[in-house]
This record gives sequence, C-alpha cells and structure tokens, in this order.
Amino acid sequence: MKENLQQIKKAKSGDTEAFAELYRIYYADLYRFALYTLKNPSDAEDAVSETVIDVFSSIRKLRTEESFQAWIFKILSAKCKRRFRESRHLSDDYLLDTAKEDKSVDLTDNVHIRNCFFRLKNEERLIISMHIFAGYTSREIAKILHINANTIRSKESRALKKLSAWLNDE
Amino acid sequence: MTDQDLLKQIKNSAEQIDIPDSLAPDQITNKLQSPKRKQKRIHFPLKAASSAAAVLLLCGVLWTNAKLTINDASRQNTTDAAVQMKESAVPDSESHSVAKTEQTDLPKKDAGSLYKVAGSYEQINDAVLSASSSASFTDGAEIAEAEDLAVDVKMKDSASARKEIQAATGSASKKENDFSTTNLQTEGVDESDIVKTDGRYIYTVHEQEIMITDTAQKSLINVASIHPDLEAADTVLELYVDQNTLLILVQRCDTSLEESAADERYYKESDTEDTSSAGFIPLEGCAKINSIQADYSTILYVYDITDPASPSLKGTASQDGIYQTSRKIDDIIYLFTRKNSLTSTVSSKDASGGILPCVNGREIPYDHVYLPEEGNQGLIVSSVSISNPEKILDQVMIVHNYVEIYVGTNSIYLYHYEYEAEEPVTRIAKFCIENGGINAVDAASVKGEIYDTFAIHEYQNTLRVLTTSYNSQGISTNRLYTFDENLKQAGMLDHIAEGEEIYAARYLGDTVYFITYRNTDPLFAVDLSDLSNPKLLGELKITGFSEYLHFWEDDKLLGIGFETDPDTGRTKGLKLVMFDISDPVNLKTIDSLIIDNCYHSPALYNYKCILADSTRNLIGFVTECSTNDNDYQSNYVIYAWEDGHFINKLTEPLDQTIASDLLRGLYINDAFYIASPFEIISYEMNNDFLKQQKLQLINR
Repeated sequence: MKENLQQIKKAKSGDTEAFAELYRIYYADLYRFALYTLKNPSDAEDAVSETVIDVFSSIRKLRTEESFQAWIFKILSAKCKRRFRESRHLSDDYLLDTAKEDKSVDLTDNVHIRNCFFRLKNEERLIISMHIFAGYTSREIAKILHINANTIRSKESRALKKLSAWLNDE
Repeated sequence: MTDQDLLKQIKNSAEQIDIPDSLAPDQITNKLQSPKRKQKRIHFPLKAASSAAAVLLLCGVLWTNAKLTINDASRQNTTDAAVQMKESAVPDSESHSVAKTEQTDLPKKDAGSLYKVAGSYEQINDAVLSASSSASFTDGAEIAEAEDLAVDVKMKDSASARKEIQAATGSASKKENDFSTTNLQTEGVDESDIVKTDGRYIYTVHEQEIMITDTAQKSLINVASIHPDLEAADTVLELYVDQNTLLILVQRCDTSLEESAADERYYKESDTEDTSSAGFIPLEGCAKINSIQADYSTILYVYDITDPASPSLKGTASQDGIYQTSRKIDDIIYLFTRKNSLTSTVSSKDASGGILPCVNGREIPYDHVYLPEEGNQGLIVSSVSISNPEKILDQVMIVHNYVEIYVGTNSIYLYHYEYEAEEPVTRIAKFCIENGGINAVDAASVKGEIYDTFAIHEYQNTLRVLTTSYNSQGISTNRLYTFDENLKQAGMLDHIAEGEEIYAARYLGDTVYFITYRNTDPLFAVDLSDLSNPKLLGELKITGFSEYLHFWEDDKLLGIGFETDPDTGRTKGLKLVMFDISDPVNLKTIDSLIIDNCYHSPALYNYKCILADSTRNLIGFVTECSTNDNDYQSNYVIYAWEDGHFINKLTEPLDQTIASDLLRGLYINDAFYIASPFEIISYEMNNDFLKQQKLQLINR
C-alpha cells in the first residue's frame, strides 16, 4: 500500500501502467471521499474521473517532496468545493433509499450512519472526509481550506457531536 | 463513544459501497493508453464482495420486484393519460416536427468545431456509443489561433453602465414597496432561490412545500402553503416570483427496476444515475434483473398568485435530467438539466428514434442535438414562456463530458477545461438566446481556467474572460481575453500578476476590477473600452484577499474575504474592505474591518447568501466564528457604511441546526428579515434592528 517513488517517477515520465498502479491504491478511497462529501453517486463519479484526468495530465507538476496521496486528494477536494459552489440541490435522500427496506442489521446500521452523516453541512462533510478518507491532519486541512487549524478541529468535533446525537436519536 | 470511534464507524460505513465500474483501474489504464479505441461492452465483474450482505440485499431487491412492477405499470398509465390530455388541450403540438413556424425553430447552427448539429439519429447513436468507450480522455485539440482580430470598437454606453451600477448595488423598487431581491450574477438575468419576496409576501421552500408568509400585518402570518402534486422522492428545489406568478422548480426521481433482454449476457455498463453502485450486486442466477434505475426529471410548476392566500396552478413544463440551473429573462425561463450517461438510453433502443431524452414528454428532435468530438452526457436546455408553460419555445441538447454554464443577457456560454497541452485550456461555446430561441454562434479557446464565477462576463453582447493557469514549472499567470459578438477574439492582456491566482472579479461597463492573491491582495482595474486593446489602469496592494466583490454607490467597490498575515499567508479572520474606484488609475482603500475569530462565511462561495445594498446601506451575511470554549457559533451580521467606516448594526446568533447557506437576509420597507426554509425572524430597521418576531415555519 505504500507509495513507490520509482512508480511516481515513472508516472511522471508518462508511464500509464505506473500511473494506474498508483491510482489502484487510492481509487476506492477517492470515490468514498467524493460520495461522502457530495452525497450523490453521479456527482462523486464525475468528480473522481475529472480528478484522474487532471492528475494524469499534470502529474509532471508533482513536486518530489509532495506525496502523491496528498496531491490527488487535494485536487479532489478542490473539485468537491467547486461543486458545492455550483449546486446545493442534489442533497438529500439520493442514496440508498431503496436499501432502507433491507433487514440486514449490519447494513442498515451503515445506511443509518451514512444518512445521518449526509445531514451534516457541506463543509463539515468535506472536513471529515478529508480526515478519514484522505488521511490529512487538521493542519493540512487548514492549509488547503484556508481555515485556521483550531477551527478545523472545533468544526469537526462539533459535527461529530451532532452526528452522535442523531445516531442515538433514532 | 469517542470521536475516534465515531470517525472509525463513518469510515467503516463506506467500506461496502461499490465503486462505479468506470472508475476501476483497468478501465482507467485502457483509456489512458488508447484514448480513441472502441471497446466492447464491459462485462460486469462479479466482485469478491458478493458476500452474505450482498446476497441479502439482492433478496431485498427480488422481494420488492413485484411491488415495483405494479407501481410502474400504474404510473405508466397515468403518464400516458396525462400526455393525451395535454395533446388534446394543445392541438398544434401534435404536428410539432412538421409545422414549425416559430422564429425559435430556425435551423440550428454549429458552435464552431466544438459542437456540431447532428444530422440524424444514427449519428447521435454512433457518437454517443463511441464516446462511452473513450470517456472523457481527449487528446490533442489545439487552441485555435486568434485569426480574426478585426474589432468593433464599442462606444461607451454610460446609460447602461449606470443601469448596471444600480443593479449591482441591489436597488429594486418597481412596486410602491421598497424591497430587496436575490443577489444575481448578471443584471437583468433573474435566478431562482430558496427564499424570495415580492414586497409583501415572503416565499420559502422546504422539501415538498412552499410557505407563503404575509408581512403586511402587525405580525408575520403564514397565509398559505403550496403542496404541488409530488411523488415521495420529489424535492422542491428553488423558486422565482414575478409579480403575480410563482414558479417552482421540482426534482423528480422515479426509481424502477431495469430488466435485461433475455439474450443479454452482459451486465449493463456502469451508469452514473444507477443506484446499483450503492451496493446492489447482481448475481449469476438472477441475471434478468440488471439494476435499480433512478430516472431524474425536472419540472417547472407555474402558479398564479394574484391572491397569494389561494394560489392556483396555471401549468407545468418538464424535461428529463437532473436540475443544473435556470435563468429568467423577462418572462422566459431557460431550464438546464443534465442527463448522465446517454449511452445506456441510446444502446438499449434501435437507432430509428425513441432514443433521446424528452422535453414536455416529447423526444428532442435530432437536429436540435449538438455533438462534440467526445462525450456522453447531455445538457438539455429548453425555454418556456411563463404565460404559457405547456408550450416549449425551443430546446437543444448539447452532448458533452462536463460543462460549466454562464448566462448573460443575450447569450448562454458553455465552457469546460482541457488539460492535454502545456497549460490548461478553456473551451467556450456561445449560444444566442432571443425571445426563447436558442442557437449557436461559435466556439473559442483561451489559455488557463476560469477561477471565479464572476470572471466571465457578457456586456453588450461581447464577452470578457479572466483566466489563471499554471505552467509546467508550477508558476501561475493570469490573462484577460475579449471577444466580439461573433465570439472572435478581439484582444488580450497577459502576464498579469505572475505567481498569483484570480480570487474575485467584477465587471462594470467597460471596466473590470479583479483581485489576485498569493500573500497580498492586489486589486486591478483594466479598461476594456477598446476591446482589441485592454489597458491596465491601476493596481493596489493590500494584505488579505477578497473572495467576492460588489459595487457600492457609484465610485466604491466592496470586498468580502479574509485578512491574512503577509509573511506566513496565515488566515487571521473574515474581512470587509471598501475600495475607492472613483479614479481607476489611482485605486485606494478607504477602510477595512476584520471580524475577529470568524473564519468562514457561505458568502464566500454562494453569492445568493449576500445582501449588499447601498441605497439602504445594508451589508448582510452569515459568519461562522470560534467561541471561547473552542466551540463555534454562526451569526447573521449586518454592517452599514457610515462616514468612511464599517459599522456593525446587528449580530444575531443563529440556530446551529440550520445550515448557514440556507439563510437569506432581506428587507421590505423598514422591516428586515432573516429567512430560511424553517423560520423567519423580523426586525425594525429604524429602531436599531430591534427584534420583533420569530415565526416558525416548519416544526423540527
């Protein structure tokens, strides 16, 4: 699962196989990140595929000291932010409505968590996604979002409080 | 449960989500290696994840199968009936493809080489199917040289410039009442929102209903609520109010089970609108059921609100696809929806018709379809008059991979970015809109990307665009392009603020003001009166940066953004700044104000959240601030501009359960309101914003 410097070098020189190997490590988390941030599968799919195009076409710009992971998620975060600006319409209930009828306990738990998570504000979902799927620290998130690191921590903690109240509620 | 546990739970809840096939690494490799190669339809691989959970899920699907089929059949019948009724009511719509007399039905022209009008259904079929295999990986489109630099020098039109000032500063008073309107991107081009007022009533949107609140009595009274005839999964998105007409935009979502043909051995290609990606994994034995399909359509409801206490439905218009945006110019609505992955629609039917998305229940004619070099998503644009919504004035579908939309007074501009060259390229197509008719003019390309919503602007049918791009060394540069009415490049200004990015822009008549940022915040003014020769007039450096600009009175410019430390780039807090632009050559800062401990505002990314009105001297928006106990609090704040300073008039702590981008500040005469879908709070403006009343609209 670790990034291979050799692979990054190859990818930077235009080797698609090497690029695909790097992508393979992250694509599931990229999609989860986008889905949890944008709430909508089609938007998430678009955001990830746009990100991959951007990353592949500009991988030459990747500075050696920067990690590929941090970079690809940074681009995805920007795509998600851009989508927030464009529309807040496709918000609720777009996902897994049909699965609610399912009686599998484990699964409905997950659906429940997800549905509660989707009630959080855009920015709160973005911050938590950046934390858990992209693995950024609050300092890194602060830098990317132009927000103070303390604020990031308090926002996250506040969001989690709300979430945990909702989870216990229903 | 600790925060750590909760985070872990959230993460785990995502584990079972199926990743769309189109994103799988082998797909990506194929596409990267041979962008143009046609591929066979992809066999849906049986994931190792066909675990117990998946089996259970599938049984759930089978179990609901029968139920859904019945629902489907009955829905089908009602739709048919509705269509028939419509047909008999509007006799001339029957012969619609033959007897076109409207000026809006002139033959469609190509948008340069970017989008070409389809010649037949077969051509659409071929184009869309081939696009699906090469997806969005394009190769080698070149920037057209700006050959035709012939220019029409526009005379400075001071009257219309002044009109823009009025618009940009937000005054609106057609009726006797003086009231605020939605903060718009372009004067004269109305936009929908979740809260609107007509000078007496406040209209708000919540899930499936519209609440109408009367402000003319002593206290706020909820006089009516409209419940359009909606299905369970429908959502009211936004609304328009135009005198006696209320327009409601609704997103409809029909879910149905899709069955494959008996000989179909392959599973459907991953469809972006396919909820199967959310965990429904087809199994071998049940190959007949492909997926649960979600079909989105967007409906416009038109109500007569001559008496707002008893609104009456005048008519509806509908079109396939997910709502993107809409605009209202005079009494014509332009509705934009996106149909994802046309491939599945097209490939499932024969090529003789019946393959394209519908507007008002009728398929879009093939010669109203624009095909790109590549792409398999459809942007559907239709126009209707609000006085007769059942009749579509015009309609087009532009096939694309991804586009952004800007609407000026005379034209629609669609733009997207391509990254194949040394620098990113923005490709722009122009469609003129005249009395509802939609037709392409041409296409053009510029270097760089458009970073701010307000960086693209139409003025007197000519286009101006500000772009930012990073070269292969990672150094940024900014450019300004001007185009004539035929979208031929007229002029260009480059090497602007090297190493910085465009953060905010605003055009006023023949001048553009914009903010770039790295560690400081230069404000630039550029004269565009000679389109072929844009001239840099002035530049002013201050600390911090603005994300939003708004003209204030005739000679000032308001910026909303952040203060930063010029050495570290660290954000210090939200900042208001007032620039003196009376002499664009000699730009000045009059005053600025840092709102302590506040680090965010929805005003920074959604201009509809801002009230900025110099005639009533109001600057209102939501701030999100840290509190002493390391929690945070959002407030609605109002500032006035008095004697060269920002003066705080109101700081209202807000209900933390309402998302801050759902709040709108508005005024009617001397009353100020903070309205959201959930509640309306009223204040007396002349009495130091004394709080009057809080009306709960929705019980939560």
